[in-house]
Amino acid sequence: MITYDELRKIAALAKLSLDGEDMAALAADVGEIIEFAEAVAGADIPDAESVGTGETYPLREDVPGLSAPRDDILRNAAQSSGGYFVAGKTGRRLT
Amino acid sequence: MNLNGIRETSGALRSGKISCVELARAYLDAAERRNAELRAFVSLTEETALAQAAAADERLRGGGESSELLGVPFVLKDNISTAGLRTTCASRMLENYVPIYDAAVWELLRAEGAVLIGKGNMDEFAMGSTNETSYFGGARNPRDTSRVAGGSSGGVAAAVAAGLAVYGIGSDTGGSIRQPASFCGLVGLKPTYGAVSRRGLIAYASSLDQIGPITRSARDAAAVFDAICRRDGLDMTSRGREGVSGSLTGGVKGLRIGIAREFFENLPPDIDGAVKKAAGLFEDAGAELVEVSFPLLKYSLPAYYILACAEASSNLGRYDGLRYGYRTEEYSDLDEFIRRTRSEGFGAEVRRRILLGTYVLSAGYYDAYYNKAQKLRAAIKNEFAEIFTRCDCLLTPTVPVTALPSGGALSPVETYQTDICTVPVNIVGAPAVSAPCGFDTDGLPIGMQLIGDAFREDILLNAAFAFEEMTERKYLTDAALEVIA
Repeated sequence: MITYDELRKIAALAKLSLDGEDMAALAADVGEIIEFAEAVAGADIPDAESVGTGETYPLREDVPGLSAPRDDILRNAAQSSGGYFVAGKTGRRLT
Repeated sequence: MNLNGIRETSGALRSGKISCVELARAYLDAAERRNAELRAFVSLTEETALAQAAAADERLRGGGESSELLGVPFVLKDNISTAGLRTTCASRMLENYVPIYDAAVWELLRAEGAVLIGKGNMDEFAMGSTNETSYFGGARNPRDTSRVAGGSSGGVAAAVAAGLAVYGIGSDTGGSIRQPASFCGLVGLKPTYGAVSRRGLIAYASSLDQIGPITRSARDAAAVFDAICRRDGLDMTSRGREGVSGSLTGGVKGLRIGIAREFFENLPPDIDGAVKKAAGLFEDAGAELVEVSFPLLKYSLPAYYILACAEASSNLGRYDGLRYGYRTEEYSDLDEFIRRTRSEGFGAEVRRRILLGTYVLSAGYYDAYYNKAQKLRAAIKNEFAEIFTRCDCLLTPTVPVTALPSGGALSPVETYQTDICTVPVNIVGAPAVSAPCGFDTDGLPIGMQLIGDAFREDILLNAAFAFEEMTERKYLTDAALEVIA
């Protein structure tokens, strides 16, 4: 079982809000998943090195090239101005 | 005209029995008629489809050599980027997102002259096994619409099984191609990690994700795989490989098929029976059954969820509402802006997996969970390597259940447990194919899984093809759109 305090700490790290969450249900669900994952912590496994994917991959030459057009990139932003993304100032509403 | 597969469809187009535009129109009309019921598509791409079909007609009129996929309608999972066409990942977060570049697979298929009918529904950000985490409502199974189509590529499978596309392209992180293929009576190929470029695939867990086809036969799976298994300089993990269609001889004499008893524990009798019956048919055809052991199977599932969720928590960190995607309207400071954006934009299952991923990567837990899961990954790879010194492929069930009822009451962990047979494949980066091999007592399809060593898609698809021949294709879904030319 995960405590509400642990849940709040993890949510803060994950940049998730718990406002409006049913804390008891969420703690039960996440706790069940962590318990399920516990099997790994207790696994008795042959001595094997930790790996990423276990593969190595070639790198491309570092050659400058054209990037995507700025206006195309900005088209998906909720708000932009003067060729920049607009993020809200602290304490202000954006829209 | 009954146009069931790629070859039949291509033949009808080449003989002039129907034009590419007429065919595209017929598929679009059928998709529009049935989508409210099946929810197979997030979007239909009518303008693109008709333009591509017209171009395909032009190419056919010009003569010369062309791909078998020319003019053939298909569906693309909605986590694969299509420039200028909305790509949502079935999430509120990306509900209005329009990519500015194309995925490599979409580029390749477009070059072959394929015709895109629509974008397939899916579990949100590919996180789910039932399609029910889709923001747009889960795809229903054409075999029985009270059942799920499976996940996460369920919309693609539903479209192909209902005859609303000739084939589809999905993605598979822990079984997301094979499981819906199994639920819908289709063939699903999860290629070797690196065989198909992931450029433009919206990431869930980058070391596990792979793109592949969902089709109505092994032959169609090979034809589509041949078109997309290219090395791509813009995906450093991409290696490509030679095509495999030429390997489909239908002969399995001398093929060593491994049977690991761990995959058969606690199976429902009809699934156990169908897969073992398939093993018997292979043996009758000259294959050799080899008993092998995979004791680490029991750790595969928790190790997979730790690794996948850890990668997801990192990959999905990019969604902050600033550059693209959903943006909250109510907030008091920048931190709250980002937290509310993410909590409102992501659904419950995605938030749960991000929380778990963050937990296992956090100080105090990293070694016990993430590091240990990575060590298990290495150990599982070693076990697979040993198995493939003794056999050419493994035969297992694809899923220990058949298509689940919609709105089922499974807890998150109970749902995860249905992925037990598919996740080891992604952990080791191996290829695997799911092919229909029977029906349960309710008449729902049962899938068998063939797992191979890296880059041995040829062995797997040939075995699936051989099984289709042996069983006179009686387990395959015949869902051809009836086209009156």
